[in-house]
Amino acid sequence: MQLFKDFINGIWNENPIFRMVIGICSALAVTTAANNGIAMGMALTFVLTCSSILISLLRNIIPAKVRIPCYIIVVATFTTVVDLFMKAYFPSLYEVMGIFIPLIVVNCIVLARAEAFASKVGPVRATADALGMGLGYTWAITLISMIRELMGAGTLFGYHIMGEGFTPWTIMIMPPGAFIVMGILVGLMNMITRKPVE
Amino acid sequence: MDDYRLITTSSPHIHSGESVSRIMFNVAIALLLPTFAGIYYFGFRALALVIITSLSAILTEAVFQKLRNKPITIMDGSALVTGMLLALNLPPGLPYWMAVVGAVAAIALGKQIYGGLGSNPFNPALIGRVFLMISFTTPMTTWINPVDGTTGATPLSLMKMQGITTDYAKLFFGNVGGSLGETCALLIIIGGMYLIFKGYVDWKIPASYLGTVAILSVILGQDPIFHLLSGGLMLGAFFMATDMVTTPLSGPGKLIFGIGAGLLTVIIRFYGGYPEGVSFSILLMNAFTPLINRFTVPKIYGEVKAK
Amino acid sequence: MNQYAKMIIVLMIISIASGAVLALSYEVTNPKIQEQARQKLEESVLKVIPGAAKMEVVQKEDMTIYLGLDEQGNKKGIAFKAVGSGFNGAIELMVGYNPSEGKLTGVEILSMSETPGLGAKIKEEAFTNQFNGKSVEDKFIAKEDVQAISGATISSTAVAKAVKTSLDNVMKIYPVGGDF
Repeated sequence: MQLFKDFINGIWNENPIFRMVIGICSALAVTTAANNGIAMGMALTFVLTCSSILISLLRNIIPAKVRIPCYIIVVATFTTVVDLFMKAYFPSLYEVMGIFIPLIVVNCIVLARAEAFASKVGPVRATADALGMGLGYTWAITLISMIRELMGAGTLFGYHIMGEGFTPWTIMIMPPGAFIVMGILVGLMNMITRKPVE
Repeated sequence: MDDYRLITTSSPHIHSGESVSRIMFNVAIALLLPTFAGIYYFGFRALALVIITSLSAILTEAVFQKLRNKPITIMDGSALVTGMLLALNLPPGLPYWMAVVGAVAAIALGKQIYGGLGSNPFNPALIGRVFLMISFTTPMTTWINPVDGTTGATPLSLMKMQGITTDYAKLFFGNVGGSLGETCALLIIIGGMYLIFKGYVDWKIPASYLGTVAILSVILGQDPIFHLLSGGLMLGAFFMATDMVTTPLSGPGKLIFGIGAGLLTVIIRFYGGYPEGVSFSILLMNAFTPLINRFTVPKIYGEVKAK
Repeated sequence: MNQYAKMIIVLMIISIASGAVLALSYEVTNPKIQEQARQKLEESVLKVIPGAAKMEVVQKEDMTIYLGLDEQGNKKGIAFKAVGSGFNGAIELMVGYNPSEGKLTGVEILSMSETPGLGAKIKEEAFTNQFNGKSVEDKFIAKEDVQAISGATISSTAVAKAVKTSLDNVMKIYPVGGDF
């Protein structure tokens, strides 16, 4: 039950994008197409899960004073591994993601979960939390990127959805579109979960 | 000269009868002049665009305020003015649904999100226009020539790309390609003068804005009269750079605002990627307004400089 | 002291482990990455030189020239990279050139960051195909002999200018009608 709670926490209650609003640099930048959203989400989930497990295992060995450098080394290692493998086996995706894969190193979500959660609990709970957070991030940026791709290019996962007469709203796949879509979604999220006023 | 308005006396006071709605409806009346010019030159589409953007703006404001459980203030006329200004900044051939999108963006993203009238840092009509400009660049830069109804370039882009000038009379009376309400300099000036005469617009912003553009054009070796009369400069200087909410309060602040906007306009027109830079310059100067206000706080009578 | 020793040792072990993992990943992926890059380059070279099936890299006066050869090893044309400055940053191109005919054989955009929906249209064949068979004696000015994309004059000009500038350099080594 506790595990399930840890897992669901990142997906909804403490969704990193819509609730905590952390790690949004990549969420704003790569969400121009649905494929990118999923790929970025998977890359982050991988790094987050691996580093959470490792940090949780090492939590009693790492001295408190050097914990942040240790976390950064662990996260950077996994990120570089993802970066290299993506470059080698998914070059077209790598081209689009560009600098945002290496930037997972400094993504707030990874460091925040390491510091706030993984370093305090056992590896099993840390895994559940990391997977939840990763999936929360993934669905959030996939949703943002689907809206942006549909409105900004008229396609969804690269397939033409809108008819011939559709005029793409270019602003949606440019930086302002990311802010507008994300702002509206955060607002909606707040509206859905708003507690009724007494 | 205007100073008598600033004198405060002890009570009793007589209410001058000024209110937001009275100011806004006077602005709307002044705006009717360039609107007539647009309808005269571009016909039914121009009229339809003005009506569509005004109605969409008013409706958006009402819906937004309803959703936020705020009092609905569409009768103050500010949404009407935003809608009309937006229409005057659109190319006459723009599809109607895009005009609706622009009006919704102007009110929702440009005004209500910040808390409504008085709280918006940027001119809402210009936010709407820039939203459309970035989204639908091709239809937003397709200009209809009023003489033969064909599409063609505006005088400014003719100047920028091919070095062709257009003669002054055509520019002055508005018989050229361009946005709906920006072409006829004559009627814009009359409308602007009306607002200055009524005291709703301070002459300092249009004067310093237009003056800066003219002087810089001369210095940079281009025709100053052409640059004054073409593009959205007249409309921008009289109606958009003078918006009370988004421009500095004090006299010197207004001069700084006008000079800054003029400088930016010239830079964009002469060296930038777009042929016209009035919207971007005014929006950029809007962003500077709080800073300008801060540095131009009037000295309080009797105040001694702290040592 | 003990406390500091522990810190240093832990950090060191983690760093060494990290280094080992990275070295291993690099060993595994590097050949693949090199291969990907070469393949991409060859693809673009073959695309701008019609009839070419193989690519050969030649260094001439600190310029890198790609020779396009057909199956029998006959020279079909040369290709070179060109860089222009577009609306949002550098535009990198691959240009195909046939010196014996004095004509361009193709232009391919390698990388660019132009505005989606506007400048990004330089990537489309509707734009790039106009360079096929274009005489190197032309002026390469957008809106004159190069069809510009409507609303994206700067991007179009950047491409035309980049092609012309690098072409002028290459033509010093491979003049029209000369051997290559």
